[in-house]
Amino acid sequence: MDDTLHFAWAGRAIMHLDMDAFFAAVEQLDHPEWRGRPVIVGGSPDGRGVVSTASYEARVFGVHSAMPAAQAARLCPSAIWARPRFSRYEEISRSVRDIMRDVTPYVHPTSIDEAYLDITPGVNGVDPVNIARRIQADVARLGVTCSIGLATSRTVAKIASEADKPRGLTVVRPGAEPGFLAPMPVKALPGVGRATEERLRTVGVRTLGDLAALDERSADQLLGSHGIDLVMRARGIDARPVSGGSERKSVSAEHTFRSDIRTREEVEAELRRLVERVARRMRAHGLSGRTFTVKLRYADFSTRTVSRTVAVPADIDADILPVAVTMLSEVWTPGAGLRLLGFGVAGFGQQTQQLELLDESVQADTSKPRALVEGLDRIKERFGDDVLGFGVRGLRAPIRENKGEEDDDPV
Amino acid sequence: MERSCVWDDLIAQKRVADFLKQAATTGTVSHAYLFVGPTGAGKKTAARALACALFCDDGGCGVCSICRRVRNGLHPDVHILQPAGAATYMVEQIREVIHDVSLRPVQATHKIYIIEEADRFNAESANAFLKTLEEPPDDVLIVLLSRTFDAVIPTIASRCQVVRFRPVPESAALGVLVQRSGATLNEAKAALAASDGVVSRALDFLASPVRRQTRNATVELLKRLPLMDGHDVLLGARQVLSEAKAPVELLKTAQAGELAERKELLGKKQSTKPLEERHKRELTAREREGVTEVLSVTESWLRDCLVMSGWAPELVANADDADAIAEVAAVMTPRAAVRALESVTRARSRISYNVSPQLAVEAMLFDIQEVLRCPR
Amino acid sequence: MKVSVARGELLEALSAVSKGLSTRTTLPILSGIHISTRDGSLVLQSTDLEISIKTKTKARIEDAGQTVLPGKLLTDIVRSLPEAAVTIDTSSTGSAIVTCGQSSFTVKTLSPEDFPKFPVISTDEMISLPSSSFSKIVHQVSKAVSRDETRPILTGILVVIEEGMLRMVATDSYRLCLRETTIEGVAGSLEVVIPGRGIEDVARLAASSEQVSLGVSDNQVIFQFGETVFISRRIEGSFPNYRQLIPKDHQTRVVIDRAEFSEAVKRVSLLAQHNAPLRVAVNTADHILTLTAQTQDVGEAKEDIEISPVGEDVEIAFNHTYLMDGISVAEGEKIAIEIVSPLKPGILKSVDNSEFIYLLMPVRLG
Repeated sequence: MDDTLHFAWAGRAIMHLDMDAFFAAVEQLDHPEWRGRPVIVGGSPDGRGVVSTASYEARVFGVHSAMPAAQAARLCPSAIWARPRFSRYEEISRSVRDIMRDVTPYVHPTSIDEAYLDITPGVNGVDPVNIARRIQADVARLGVTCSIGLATSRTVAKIASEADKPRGLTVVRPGAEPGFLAPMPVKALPGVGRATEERLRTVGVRTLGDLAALDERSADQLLGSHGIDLVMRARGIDARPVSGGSERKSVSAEHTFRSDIRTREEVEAELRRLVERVARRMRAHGLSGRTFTVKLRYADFSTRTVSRTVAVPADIDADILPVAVTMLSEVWTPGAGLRLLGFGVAGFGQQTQQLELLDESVQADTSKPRALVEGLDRIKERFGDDVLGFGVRGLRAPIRENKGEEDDDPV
Repeated sequence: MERSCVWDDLIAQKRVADFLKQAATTGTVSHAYLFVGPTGAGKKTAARALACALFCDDGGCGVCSICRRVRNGLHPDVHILQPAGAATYMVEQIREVIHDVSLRPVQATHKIYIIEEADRFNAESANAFLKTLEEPPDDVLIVLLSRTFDAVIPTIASRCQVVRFRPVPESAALGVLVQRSGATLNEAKAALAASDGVVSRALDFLASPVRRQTRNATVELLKRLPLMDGHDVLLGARQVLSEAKAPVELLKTAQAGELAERKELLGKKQSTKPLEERHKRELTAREREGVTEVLSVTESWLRDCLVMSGWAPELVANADDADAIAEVAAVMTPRAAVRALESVTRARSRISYNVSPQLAVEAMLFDIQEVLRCPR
Repeated sequence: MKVSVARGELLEALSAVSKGLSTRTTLPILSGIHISTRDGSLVLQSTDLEISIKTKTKARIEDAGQTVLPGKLLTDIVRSLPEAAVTIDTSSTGSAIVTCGQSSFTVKTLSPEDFPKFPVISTDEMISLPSSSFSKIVHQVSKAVSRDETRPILTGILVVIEEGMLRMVATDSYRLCLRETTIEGVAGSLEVVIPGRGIEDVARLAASSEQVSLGVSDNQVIFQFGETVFISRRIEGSFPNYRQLIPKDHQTRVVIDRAEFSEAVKRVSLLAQHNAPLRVAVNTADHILTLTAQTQDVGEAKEDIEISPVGEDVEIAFNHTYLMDGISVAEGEKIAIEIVSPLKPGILKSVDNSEFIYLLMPVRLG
């Protein structure tokens, strides 16, 4: 493609970067002998786990993420199965982010392998297409690859990054959005799930073109306020900004279990682990939040979430955990099998500390939790997540960390 | 003759009684004990005796006004707790204790907290309690009671001195039963067999015509079992279980009365939820107890057949039915008896997995019927 | 038992003992009021095992006796009655009949034998104080009483009487309030920590009496006022050494109009939500004190107040509720604010009354 044939980029330039089969690609990077062969990360051919990531070689056989491992094993008997190594994936992910942050502070990672960037050119700015190309090349030098969508909004950029995988660079120039979106099926639009798709089908809306043509009133009648938002986005109108990485909206983590967990000890131990993780990430970013969310998925795949807002922003396990445990008890009864448990914090506020008046013995008493967790943070930073924890029975290794680093909105 | 004292109540736990008495007299009482032992072993009695020994000017005479108040549950410095939640201690309940701990005693030199079913802490209530349990003021004594050690949350258990109670030997239990209830030795034996050896439950049993009736009906059913057809067995199971439910109905009536009275007392606005939760718990326990009793009677009757056929006819628990038992024993091999007993164990475990008691008992009766018909 | 009492007097007595009713469902007897007759009076008692209250009222006694009646219900009944003689008759077992004019109520009774004995306590001496000063000081310092049970001793108020002077101190470890006053003709001395809840109840109940006297035993503290005896259990532990917490000097001193300051803090605090701090900046050159607050995603507020400062410029942040509490219980038209440094306690004082000190720890900004 020849850049000079185009006029300068008008308006915002939003880029969505999506790593190609990320976990599997890292495994192939670290195991040269696996390159060119089907690799499946997560689950095991005999266990009942879930596929976390399948390499493109494995996808040829029909294997994809979130597929039960047993099914994947049937589809692709020759696959190489790898246990996930999150610390290694995080390491590569950090390198990718460094590459992006070299370009702009407006990097908003939405998971371990995805990020939005705002690369809107200044007055004498560089063509965003060149920037995207350079990022793609720099990432490839790490030994893994990514696909990039470049457009004027987050929605279009996201759809564009999916359009040509792996190693694709899809540019939707300003003004080209309607033509690009129109032929796409409605489910390509982030935020359209199966229920929405069904409902749209009843009125004959199958493509984004159809959806864009829908008038706002019928959209509202059909899908509520959410509907208008979808129509606008189907028209390529999406003003949401890319906030810099420092302005997170929430921090969350979740686990999918190798086999359902059902006892109070197991579930509370897992919740504690999640709370510890989330609280540690918050402290690492100097955040404290007031809105807690517990998410769980039952054995029948039905999902429930419960949220609660407390009066005072918290960033310490000991302050969060009791609330989280209470919230859990509202939506879960011991004995009911869980395949996924998640915990998140949002509603960040300014971090302040009310100082205390009384003598050291008292101060030591109240500051102990903070000193303790901060000490633990430093140890975990050096030696890894699992070296230390509070003594609780019933810990179990998760099969995967659901790409759930943090997220304000997975769209 | 030595003076009577509170430790006399613990005749079957002499070792424990001596140990606690020693601690009380030498002033070496720990701040927190965990009493572990089967139901009916005397844990609560021991905890109360310890309270008497500490408060009474005579080291626990058992008759002075202080001892009487402790034993009747009316002493303001002795607090006895049971879980207020549907299954666990509520954190509000523990906060009340923590608040009381922070105040000086009302009348006595100490404050004593007897915590029943210490295995029923959830993470939240346990957490709330830990600091108090670890470093209570000097005038606090906490006694936790639990059937098993392993069921107690380790962070709680590790902060207590553990005192183990043995099951009460049968001879001692029978002695107490005969003495307190005025029943004959044979009646006491049957009652104990129906109550899994728990003295307090056996006493209740002896005082309850309804429950004795259930027991007799169960024995009668077992005797007639070989002659019954399938339909008869099903009817028999239904009849015995419906009789076992009679005490539940009595309890329901009593609870309704208590609830009405409480509402009148506290006014309409006051929540009676804790009371209702307790009622629900009692009801479930009583329902389970009724079924358990049927199984225990069956088990003891079969065991009687086994001991009668073999080596120790003096061990028969259901002596009032000795003739019928002897008849069965005459033809039953030990192996067959064991097979029948296994069917009872199976029924117990099925019920613990929430199989309907009706179904479990029916299956058990069919199994036993088969053994009785072909007792090889 | 059969007695008749004037409705107004009975209600007053019931209101007093109602403070001692327990709502714990585990011991139903504690939700009852124990009623007995003695020497032409009706004696009413209540207890929740922490505080015990006894009061008496004149009555016409036809039959002596005792009973326990549901406290809340009885109080509600008597409150609803017209002003006339109320008769309580317990001649039938298990229930009492309350009649007044044409109204009559049948109420279940509880066994008086099950009711805890009223504590008998021995004190060396009882010290008598004018109840107006007592109640006022309790009201002032009780703002700083801790509601957090993790350090029980801080849920109480330290009361010291020595050399004709009454002092009370309370702290919740974030702020400390000390109030001291001389009282004419007080003899004796004592030092005791009294549970905040109990002493606050006494301050309210004793307001209608001239004097309130108090005494202390090993485990309890006793108050007497009018016909009422109020006993509270003491708190375990000892009170922190508050004297060493009070800064001896300061870098900045500001005198400010109390009403004006109070209004400004109230306004700016509207934007100090979710525990966001209130910032106080003193500009000595311009004679301006600036209050600011901001809540993320909501907005911010700012207000300048003219002041007469002495010392250096300073900026410090406080919890606005704690600050407001201090301003509201301070006395006088003007108050002084003394600040050492942004991380040391700030002090509010009454300009005309050095015996009021409200110490307040700042908030450290992240």
